[in-house]
Amino acid sequence: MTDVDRARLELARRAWLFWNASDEDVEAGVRRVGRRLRVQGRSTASRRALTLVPVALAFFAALAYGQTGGFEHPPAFAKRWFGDKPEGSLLERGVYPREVAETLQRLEHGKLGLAPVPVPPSSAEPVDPSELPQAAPELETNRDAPSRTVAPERPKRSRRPSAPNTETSKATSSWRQIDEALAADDEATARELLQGLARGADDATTQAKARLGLAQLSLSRGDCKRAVKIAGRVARSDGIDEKLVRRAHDIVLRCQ
Amino acid sequence: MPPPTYQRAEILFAPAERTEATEAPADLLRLLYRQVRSLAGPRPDLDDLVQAAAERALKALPKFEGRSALSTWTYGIAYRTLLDHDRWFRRWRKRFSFSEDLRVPEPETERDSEAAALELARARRLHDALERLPPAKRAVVVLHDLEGVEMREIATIVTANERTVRSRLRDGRRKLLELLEADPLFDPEAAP
Repeated sequence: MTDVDRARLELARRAWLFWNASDEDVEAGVRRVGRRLRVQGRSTASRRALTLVPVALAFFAALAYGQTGGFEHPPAFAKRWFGDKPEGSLLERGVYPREVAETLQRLEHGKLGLAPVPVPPSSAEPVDPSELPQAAPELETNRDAPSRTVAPERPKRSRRPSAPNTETSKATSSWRQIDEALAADDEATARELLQGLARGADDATTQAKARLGLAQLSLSRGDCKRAVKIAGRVARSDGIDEKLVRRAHDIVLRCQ
Repeated sequence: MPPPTYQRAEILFAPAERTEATEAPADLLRLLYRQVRSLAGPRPDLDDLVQAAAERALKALPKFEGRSALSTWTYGIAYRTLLDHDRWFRRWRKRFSFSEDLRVPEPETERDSEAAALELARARRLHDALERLPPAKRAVVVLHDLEGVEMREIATIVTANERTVRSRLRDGRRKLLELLEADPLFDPEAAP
């Protein structure tokens, strides 16, 4: 250390002593700190611990609850607020109008007072009622599928062994054929083709469109209950275009 | 047979002179206030620091065995409190800042005295320069060069061996002198 540095340090020491705490400052400070110690009572560390421990406990409790799958399958009281749909469903995103939800709710409770839509003369041909219950179990199965974006694995067995060549209709059915069947007033064929598409199409959008077609067929026949049921399930399904959801809503609202 | 440690600590303070609120020995608080003020410098949260140090000291007082001087022991508490507080405070300052009414009070001086104003300006610059040193080195420089504490005691305070303390002192002093060298107020030839 040079002499200049020593002199500089000496200046620093003088300045240090100049702004050192005076006796009055110290007394005032001691009084303030004494008052604080009296008022607060607990130590700073204890107060911090009192705040942090509950927060940490809540955090770990939430982690443990999530580990048990509680957030994915909420309890009954939580369903009342958040619904039992998985997070991010169209219903939660507000795509699903309230009127439609109410209608579906009434339908599930069997209280839907539906006025049957007048049957147009072109679709007056009676349809085999044995076909109708098939749509619901199919849709039920599809609704529980893990993802809509991937085509679900279809069971090999056929529910209707007597049905005319389901595998072929799955392979060959196309919208053109459906159009042709509808143009020829062959509703039975159109329904069969639609069911084939609804079961065997590769993408969720095509399946949803086919189901909407089935819903519209039911509507044209005056079976509003079935139409609302199919349309409601389409509207609740994930991974489909919102345009299709709106069409499903239209069907539900028309039945109101 | 020597008295128990807590009684020995009690003997060090005047029993009659206690703050009525906490039963804390007033001498202990005074000592801590001066030491924390030395190590931390004038700052708005000085009372918080003294309070935290006092809480630690009162909690640890029964364990004080008298193997070092009481002032060394309290200096150690003040030093550790300051380091812990600064660690937390650095994170806190990233989000918040003091309001204007929490300025550091300046010493009462005769404002018309040019020498006093100059000394005050120099002291302010000195504290600014000290603020720019790392906390461990700043503490050693303050204790040794400004407060005149012995090297052996500093080693006890900062719980390091003397060679480490000397190394910190050398580095801290060099950095401080570099900072002061650039300041015309600390030019020895210009100073009166």
